[in-house]
Amino acid sequence: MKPIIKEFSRVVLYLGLIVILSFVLPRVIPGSPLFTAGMDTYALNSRLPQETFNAFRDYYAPDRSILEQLGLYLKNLSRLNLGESFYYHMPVLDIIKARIGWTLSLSIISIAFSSLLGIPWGLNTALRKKRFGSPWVTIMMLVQSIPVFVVAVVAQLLFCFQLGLLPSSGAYTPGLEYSAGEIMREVALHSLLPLLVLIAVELPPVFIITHNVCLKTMEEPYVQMARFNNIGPRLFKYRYVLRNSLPEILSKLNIQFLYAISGVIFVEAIFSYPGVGLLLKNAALSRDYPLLQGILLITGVYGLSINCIFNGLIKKTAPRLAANE
Amino acid sequence: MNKGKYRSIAWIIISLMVVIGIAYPLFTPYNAGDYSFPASLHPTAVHLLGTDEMGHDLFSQLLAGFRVTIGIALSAAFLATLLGTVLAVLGAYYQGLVYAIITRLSELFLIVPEIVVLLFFAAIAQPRVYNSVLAIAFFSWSKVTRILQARAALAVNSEKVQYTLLLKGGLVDTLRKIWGDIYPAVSTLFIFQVSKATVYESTLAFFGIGDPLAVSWGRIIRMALDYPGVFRDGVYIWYLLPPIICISVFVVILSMLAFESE
Repeated sequence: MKPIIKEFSRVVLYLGLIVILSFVLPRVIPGSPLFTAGMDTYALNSRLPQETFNAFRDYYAPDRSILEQLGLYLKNLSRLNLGESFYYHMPVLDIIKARIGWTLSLSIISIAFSSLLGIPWGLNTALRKKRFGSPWVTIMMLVQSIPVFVVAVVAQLLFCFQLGLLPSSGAYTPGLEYSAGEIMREVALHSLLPLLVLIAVELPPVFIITHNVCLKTMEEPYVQMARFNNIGPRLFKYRYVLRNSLPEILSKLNIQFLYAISGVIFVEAIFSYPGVGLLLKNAALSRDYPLLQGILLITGVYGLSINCIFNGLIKKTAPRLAANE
Repeated sequence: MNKGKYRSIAWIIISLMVVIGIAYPLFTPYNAGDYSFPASLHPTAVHLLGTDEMGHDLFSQLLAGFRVTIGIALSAAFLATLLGTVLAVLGAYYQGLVYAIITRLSELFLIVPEIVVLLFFAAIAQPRVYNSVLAIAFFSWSKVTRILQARAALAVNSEKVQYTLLLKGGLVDTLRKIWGDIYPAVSTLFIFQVSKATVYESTLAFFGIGDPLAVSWGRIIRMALDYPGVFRDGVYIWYLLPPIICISVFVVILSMLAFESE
């Protein structure tokens, strides 16, 4: 019972911190229209339509004291009111809700694939330990350090523009009418390349982490002992090496998959995939503060939920660790 | 066996790139901002990488990109490493509440996706080079702090530091004592941060945010991708690929060096 309360209070704490961050950030960044109390609303006022400007003023209330602003922000949040977008002239929450499904599916599918491929591969490579180490480790390290957008741009160049194999942008071809079967095919075809790029980016860290942690576990005395005792290879591999490496692998993957959210956002922006990434790009380009703030909040909550899932998994695989905490 | 040799080659390449960044005006054929040349030329002896659709000499722009990109990356990485190290040491020195707050904050920056914070910061701040540096440093410190904290705590608990503390040594004395212990980690983290910051800078330019006047590698990539004819007649070979290769070489070599010393 107690660990659950502890985890719950942790989640509440981080939720609070994310909300505070999203409140403070637009107010402390130099050059922000919310930077000063006597802010220069004139520039914004002349740029935005009157209605949007009024919505902005009602939501942020920049002329009130900072505590009143915070109170107003919390009150709005409790009613799930994230403000109105400058650019789309729609409630921020509705816009994000319409897009988040694409992002979640890309993110979860790519995490699942890279784990299912990377963990067994890393484990097997570690077991077939060579004297000078596997060349794959070096190759994967090289791949890992190439920036995500370079991978995405080169893949787009190669598969879409040079070979013309796959569609270069969007999640489906707009303006056509589809039957249910066709739309599935369209969506699958359009998401293939973004998914492949994401897997290419997420797989190397999974492989390297698993490989290194398993190598370390194999040095442990009880694993060495198991080897001398001629424990069967299957049992040795799963019960001794993998089972004991799992908590550390998971806690490192936790961080990797938090970074992977950024990767998804990138890839979406480049392939014009209609998820939160494309939304973020447009919001940043059009300086759409309420939408930026909403995206920060929602992606923060998503990051927190991934973090929670992994913490749960780690506790499941390492009861001893959990008891010690 | 040949590790030392690879290492020195890697360092020579990095130093060369930094020197190009500092001294490029000495051997750049034209001014990077000069757009008086015929537009969309293919590479010739006069224009090594041709010209873009506005009439800029692409080779000069690429050279100018060395200074912008590497300069921003170095300053952002320096700031991030400095801030991260100071916070890690503060946490280890004061422990208790200070330690808890610093840990929670650095974890918060891990949970919120970095690119969202980066774009948020850069979109709101005025598009100036120093704001790009601040935006990158603003969320990068947390990684330095996370990794250094354990080491700093270990160093503070060592006998020599405990002795210093016993003699009523202050924060500065403690830092001086543990510097030798944490220095290798700090330098590795700095190298790693430079490579990360290069990627972030290119990201900002790639998204079209950041100083529009600073011609960085990311900006050339953005311009190349915005140019409709880039995939015809192999234009991308001299327009899009050179900045991509520069970024990749710089980033990959740096992160290999950081991995190596880890």
